[in-house]
Amino acid sequence: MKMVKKSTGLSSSTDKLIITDASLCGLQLSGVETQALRAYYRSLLELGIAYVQVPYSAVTLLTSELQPGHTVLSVPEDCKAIPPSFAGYLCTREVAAGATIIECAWGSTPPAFADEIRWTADSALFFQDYTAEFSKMTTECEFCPRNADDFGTALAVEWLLEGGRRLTAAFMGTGDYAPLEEVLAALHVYGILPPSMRLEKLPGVAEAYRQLTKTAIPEHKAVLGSALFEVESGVHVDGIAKNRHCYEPFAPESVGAARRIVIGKHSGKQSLKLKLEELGLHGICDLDQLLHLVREQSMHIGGSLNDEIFAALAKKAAGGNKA
Amino acid sequence: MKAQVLLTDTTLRDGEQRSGFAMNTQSKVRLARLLDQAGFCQIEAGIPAMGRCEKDVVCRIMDLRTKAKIAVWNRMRREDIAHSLDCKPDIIHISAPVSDLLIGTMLKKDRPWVAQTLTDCVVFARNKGYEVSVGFQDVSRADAQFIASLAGDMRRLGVLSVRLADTVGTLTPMKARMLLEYLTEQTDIPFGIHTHNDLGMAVAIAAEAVRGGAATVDTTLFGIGERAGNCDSYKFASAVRNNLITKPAAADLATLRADAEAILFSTEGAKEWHKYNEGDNDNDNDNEEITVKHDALVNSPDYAGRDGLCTHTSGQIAV
Repeated sequence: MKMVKKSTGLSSSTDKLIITDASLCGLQLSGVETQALRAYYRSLLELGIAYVQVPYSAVTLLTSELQPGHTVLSVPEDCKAIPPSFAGYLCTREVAAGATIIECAWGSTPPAFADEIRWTADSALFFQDYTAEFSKMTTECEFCPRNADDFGTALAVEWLLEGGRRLTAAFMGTGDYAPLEEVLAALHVYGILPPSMRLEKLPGVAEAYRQLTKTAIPEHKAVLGSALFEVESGVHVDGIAKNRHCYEPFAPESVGAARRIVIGKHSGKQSLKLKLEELGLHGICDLDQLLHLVREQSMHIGGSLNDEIFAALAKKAAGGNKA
Repeated sequence: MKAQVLLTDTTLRDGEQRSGFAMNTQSKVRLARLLDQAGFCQIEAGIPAMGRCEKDVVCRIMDLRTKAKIAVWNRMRREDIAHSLDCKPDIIHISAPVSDLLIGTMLKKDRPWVAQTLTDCVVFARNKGYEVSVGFQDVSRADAQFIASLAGDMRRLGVLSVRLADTVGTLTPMKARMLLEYLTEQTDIPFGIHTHNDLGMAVAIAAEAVRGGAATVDTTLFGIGERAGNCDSYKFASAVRNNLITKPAAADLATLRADAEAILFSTEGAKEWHKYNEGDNDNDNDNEEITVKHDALVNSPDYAGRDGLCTHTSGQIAV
């Protein structure tokens, strides 16, 4: 394998990671709402990543929103008029307009004209001695693991933990790249997230993504799911009340989310107490009796209870107490 | 030759801890039957200390299973284990926090206390004639030497296996492999891995743990579980198919998912149960009893005053 690193147009600071999002290249953009596209592009840059990779077809849609210095342009093979000033050009041939980025499968020989090589790999690399493989590369190489078999995040994270500094991922794993949000959250947890990254902006990116793709994000999707920080089980509520690190990998606020106590089959008395206080019903009823009602009702409806139902059960339990 | 790894299932225990999830007895028993048929060697059926409902579930599953061993989950408390004994399960699983964070914050104790209390609980269950497995919570933030020392104690007590839980999903794949390599060097007790998907690496961490020496991988259907969920059994089996033989295999798990989906993600679980039982002549009386109880409960206009099916606990611990 040729492990060269040639001069590149992409910035190369020694004190930060250089992360590119390629999700727009994994989406079908024909017919999308232009405003939604612009909002999504803008939200990705607000996240603090270095570059957004866009397909050639998006250039005319983004217009004034476009920041060429923070954009890698994916150039079709037959493209004749290549606009200048982009940070890089992902293509299969040499480009005169700027730095040429070539994608190469891990272990293959890159073409001599490449200014920058983006190494791609699938799950097969995961089952090799990937740390030994990583050590063959300079840390300045760009790595772009595919997410086949759900190994994309793991490969990306291990690459960065081994000292790699350039990575291409994609929000929500779009286009079968490593999910950007998972990689960033992992960097946060492992203490190597560059300070310029603003994970609290993730909900904004998620909303822009939803508007653009008209696709809902699953409520338990890692890092992004709206229900991730709903805490139901008794001991989790209790543990988080004592020290949130006990049962949370990272603070909800760090990814722009908020914790919410949910009442359901697995709730304990501590949860009920907190929820009663939240609803201004503190001390209204016996907690054991209320817990009993909550469990039965939760199993009856097959899920958690909203505040209205919970309050009704509390009042019912209170009525029982009086009787 | 490909190595073999056994998948265990905890859909009915940790899987159900996904917020907003509340399976009824019928759904859980039906799922257990499907899991058994799919070829899981072990099914974690529930937490008997939760109360009578849960005990009913475990007892029904014990009656119906054909091949899988049925495990029940317990905190390090004799009273919890006593509840489990009522169900006569195959395996009593006892879970212990091993990180200083959980030991100090949750239990307000120290490592020697954990070692002694866990030992007492294991001896208690073993003396009752049960096979015992042990779970270590929060291994990703625990001292590896302490884990090894405890595992050695467990081996000497005749514990079947030790399950390592990455409780908040912050292990890296490489760290998981190194931890398993270290532990399997220190003691020859079989280790299992239990992962969470908070950073999207539950499958990868489990795969690396197996490479490091884990004999079993704890999984759930569709990866359901607390927060972002657990290791998805089908995804794991599919991901490692070229490198490992899993039991059950991915093909069997695909069939299982298709059958289980309606039960897991529908509030119509009870209807499924009735439909299922129309052609089932085994244990008819038991089925009827549970069904009648359920219907009476949910249809009662004033069930708050009933002597209900569930007893109370102050909560539960999840790993």
